Amino acid sequence: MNPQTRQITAEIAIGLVICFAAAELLLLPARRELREQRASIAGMMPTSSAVKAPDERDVARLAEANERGRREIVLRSAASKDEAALFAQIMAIADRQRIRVDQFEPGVSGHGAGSGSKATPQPDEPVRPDTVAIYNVSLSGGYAGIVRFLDELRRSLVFVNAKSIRIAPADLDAANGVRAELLVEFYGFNVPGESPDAIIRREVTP
Amino acid sequence: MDFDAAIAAYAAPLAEFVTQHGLIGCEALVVCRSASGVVQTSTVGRQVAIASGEAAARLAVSTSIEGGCEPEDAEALCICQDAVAGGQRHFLAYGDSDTSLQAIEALLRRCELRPSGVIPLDAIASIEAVKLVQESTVGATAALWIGDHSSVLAVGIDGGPRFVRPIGVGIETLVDALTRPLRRSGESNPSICLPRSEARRLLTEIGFPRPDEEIPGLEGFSGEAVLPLLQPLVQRIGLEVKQSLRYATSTESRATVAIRVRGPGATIRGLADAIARSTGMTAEVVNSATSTDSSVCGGIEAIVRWDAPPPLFARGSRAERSSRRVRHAVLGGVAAALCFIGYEWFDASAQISQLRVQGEAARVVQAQRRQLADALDRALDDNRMLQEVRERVVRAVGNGADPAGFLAGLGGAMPGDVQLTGIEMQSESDGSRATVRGKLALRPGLDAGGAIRKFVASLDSIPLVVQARLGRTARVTEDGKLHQSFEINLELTPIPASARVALGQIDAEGGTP
Repeated sequence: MNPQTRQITAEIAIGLVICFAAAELLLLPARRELREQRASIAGMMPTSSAVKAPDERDVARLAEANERGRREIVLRSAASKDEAALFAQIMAIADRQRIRVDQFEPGVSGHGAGSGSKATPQPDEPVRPDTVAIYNVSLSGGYAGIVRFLDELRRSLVFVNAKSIRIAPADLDAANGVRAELLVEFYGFNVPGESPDAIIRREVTP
Repeated sequence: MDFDAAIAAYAAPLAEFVTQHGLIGCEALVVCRSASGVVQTSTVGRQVAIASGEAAARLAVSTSIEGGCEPEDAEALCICQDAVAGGQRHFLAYGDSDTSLQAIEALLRRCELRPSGVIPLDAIASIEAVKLVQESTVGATAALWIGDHSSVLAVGIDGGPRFVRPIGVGIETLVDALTRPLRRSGESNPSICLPRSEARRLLTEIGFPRPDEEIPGLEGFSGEAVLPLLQPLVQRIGLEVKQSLRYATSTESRATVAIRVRGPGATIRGLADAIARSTGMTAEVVNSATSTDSSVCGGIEAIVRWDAPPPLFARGSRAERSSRRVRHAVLGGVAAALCFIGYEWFDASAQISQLRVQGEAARVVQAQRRQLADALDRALDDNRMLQEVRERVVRAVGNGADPAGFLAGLGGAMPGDVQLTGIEMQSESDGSRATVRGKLALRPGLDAGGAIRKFVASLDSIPLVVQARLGRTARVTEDGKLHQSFEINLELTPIPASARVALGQIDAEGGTP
């Protein structure tokens, strides 16, 4: 090989080395990063258009409905734990229906499933509530008022079950009046999540 | 003067010319006629490829060069080819000894010019002659390019060259002839010999005079004295032309042949006509407007008109040029590769920047989606849990009667003469029952049984009552009045707990509906 050919060969080799070095140091890392970025973005994109992203409004609506449901159960359960509040509520209903509460006497109250019974109830088996409050309530007033009282009590913020109702005419001095003896159970259920006291406090705070 | 001495003699004036005109460093293409240079034309059949024909022509010319020449140092090109099948290809090959080429390149370098190759003048003359033939597209044509030291004759038919050959007669040959003794007309002895410069002037200015034409500057000499010196050369040219035509054309074609004359010799007055008279054909001078009176200038003028043929280089210079070309190619390749790499890198960087922005946006969107999905999961869990609690509520409350609804229905069904004495409702796990007690004041004409039966039927028709049955009845006296007391046992319709509890009726403000 003559010197000129050797020199040209060397120059070609140097040129190739420069090109390969430039490609290795600049181009290949850039392309690698480009591939990684593309893969990363592709990984972040939903794989199928069939998988619909949750709608924020739907989620908010569901959360709100849950909150309402929780609040309702907590508030309805509060009657079984707070006698004073329950009495106030009963009195308020009686006032609205123009009847009188002659007696409001706690019966034998107790705790249901929430107090320790851990066995899973069968589908047909009655379920005990977490708390039960039993009251003997004596009412007097008009027949229609008693009926409306019972109806409003059913629809009010309590879980109530009237175990027995006795209605009889009142004393002679109360014209057209009746006297009703009720044995009612107020149930309470525990709801996981926010403390019931906090919910109740929030409800009563204007 | 040998070639080296001639080259050396050129050095001083050329260097001065280059300096004066600011041509230092310029490329110089040399058109010359060197003693060792050889120009050959060769013809092969059309079936031979051009590359093969050129290689053969180079090989042929390299063997003819004095001092030796490698075939790759010679140049060859196909100057024309017959269009018809079975025709021929004509190749022009030229070369020179490496010594001559080195000397020429050394001269140029000494004058601070960059050698750009050497083109033999005869090669240009041959191409010119062929082009003259190709320009005449009808009939047989003879083209004569008359140069300083030699001429080139090309013959063709209908624009297709048949052959090209050199003729050893040129302007300098005519000048040589004029340096022979000139005899005065009418006198036998006194004669003069013109010096070469005077003979050249005579040829340039007078050319071929008429026989009776006085020669200016040569008192007593007329055309009769000059023509005999020139006539043999003209006849030689005519002979060459006629023989060539006889070789290349048919008898019918020869009758209409026109000779086309070009080159510096064509500017000599009367030369073309003398050739025409000698051959018996018509002659036409086709010099261009810029025609000059020297072969070299004519050659330069010719290669300005058309592309120059490939020049010759000294072996070392050729190798150097080749290596330079390779080096340039390598540099160009490296530069192109680096440009490509740079472009790709910039492009990739730009895309990466863009993708980073997109990635950030996608990450934010993904985080939002994840947050939303988590919120949805939590909400679904809450909902599931609430549903479980609701089911517990429903099952705990259980199915039972609607006391208010029943009492309302009872109030509506009660006849006016019946007095209720008591209502008892019991809710048990196996159903809800009620007992209605009452009494009916008996009076004459009253159908107590029918009234009670009617009352029972009315209670039985209440939707919340499954069944109403008359229980114990008795006739009693109260306050001195006779009454018919009765007891009606009712089985009440169980209302599903979900309807009684009416969950979900709480409104957003927390109140009841």
